[in-house]
Amino acid sequence: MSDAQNWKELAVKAQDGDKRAYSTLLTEILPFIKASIISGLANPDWADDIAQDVLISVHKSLNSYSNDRPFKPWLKAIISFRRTDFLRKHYKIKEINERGQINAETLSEKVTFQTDLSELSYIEGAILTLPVKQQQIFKMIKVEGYSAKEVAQEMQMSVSAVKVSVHRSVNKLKKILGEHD
Amino acid sequence: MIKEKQSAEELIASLSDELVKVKVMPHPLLRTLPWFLIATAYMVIVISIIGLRTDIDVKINDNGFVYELLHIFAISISAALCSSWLCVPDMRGRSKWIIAIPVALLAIFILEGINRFNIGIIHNINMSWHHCYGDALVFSAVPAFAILAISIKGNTTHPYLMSLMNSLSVGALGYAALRLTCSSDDIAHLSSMHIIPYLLFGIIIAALGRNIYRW
Repeated sequence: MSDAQNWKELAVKAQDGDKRAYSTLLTEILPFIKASIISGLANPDWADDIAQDVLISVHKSLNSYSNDRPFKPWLKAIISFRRTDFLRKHYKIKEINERGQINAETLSEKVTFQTDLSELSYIEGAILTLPVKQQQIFKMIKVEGYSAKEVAQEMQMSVSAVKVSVHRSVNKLKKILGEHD
Repeated sequence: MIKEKQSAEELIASLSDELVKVKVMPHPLLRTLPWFLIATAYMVIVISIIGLRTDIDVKINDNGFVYELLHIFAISISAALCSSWLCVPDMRGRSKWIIAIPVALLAIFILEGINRFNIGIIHNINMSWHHCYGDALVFSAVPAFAILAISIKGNTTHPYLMSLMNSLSVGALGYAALRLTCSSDDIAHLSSMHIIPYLLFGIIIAALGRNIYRW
């Protein structure tokens, strides 16, 4: 009996709930799935991951196989769909990671102590908890290096009000960031 | 390598253990039928509540109007049938080019609309709120829900095409219902109030196909 005929019969038995036939079917189709996937893959190791995705998909869609149709085209359609799906996800993740690396490289140029790089997200998060005006004043003085007098002129405030705002911001940030220690 | 082999074997053992008797999906024609019956019955009920257009006696004898309705029904039914075939991974041996039938019918419909359109009409297009928007929403709600419920049970390998066909079948049916209830035959009104909302909604739904029909 040919593979195709055998698989068809096993699939029909599996639809009836025959666990043994189903196990045989999945075991027999696994090498066929891997062989169908592997050609043209940039990394042959992916074949195992995709093959397992295909097995799970076969399990999920067993009700969509019709016994008046050959089994192989049905299986091939699932293989092709899962292969494309896997590659699409893989390259999407790769693109996100690459973008992340570019950001990390850019940040590392601007951070003096490289060991503190991971803390940057905490600091940024803490600054965002300040009221918008306080954030602005804090950044102008502590990040951009303006004097209290320049900020006061820019924000149309008194110099002492600017200093009080920075003092409050620093205290609040110390409190928040202290919780992360 | 041994570890990978073991994990595949473990997966097979686990899947086999989980197996229960499955109910095989009916033929695509049999899956389209319930949708068609539900959608038509719903349309009849809503039309009877909203009321037929006042000049229906005249329009029913107008060959152009009857042809337009038949044309739009053909788009709806062929798109729904395509969706039923697209529900199955291998489409039961059909080529995905079966969608050429509803798409070609839609193209003819659009070309006929363009033929009736002239640039002067563009000033008559009014996108402000009109009862037709609400009617369009009411007409499409249940058929859209029904086709979604039927399609989501399938396992499509063409999620975008299936989503497009579902949108087309619901949109065409809704358009036909609007033609039976709204008295306006003005092409500016038809395009802005009856076609564009369905078209935009259809494009959005089709674009979300992969997310909607994930399996």
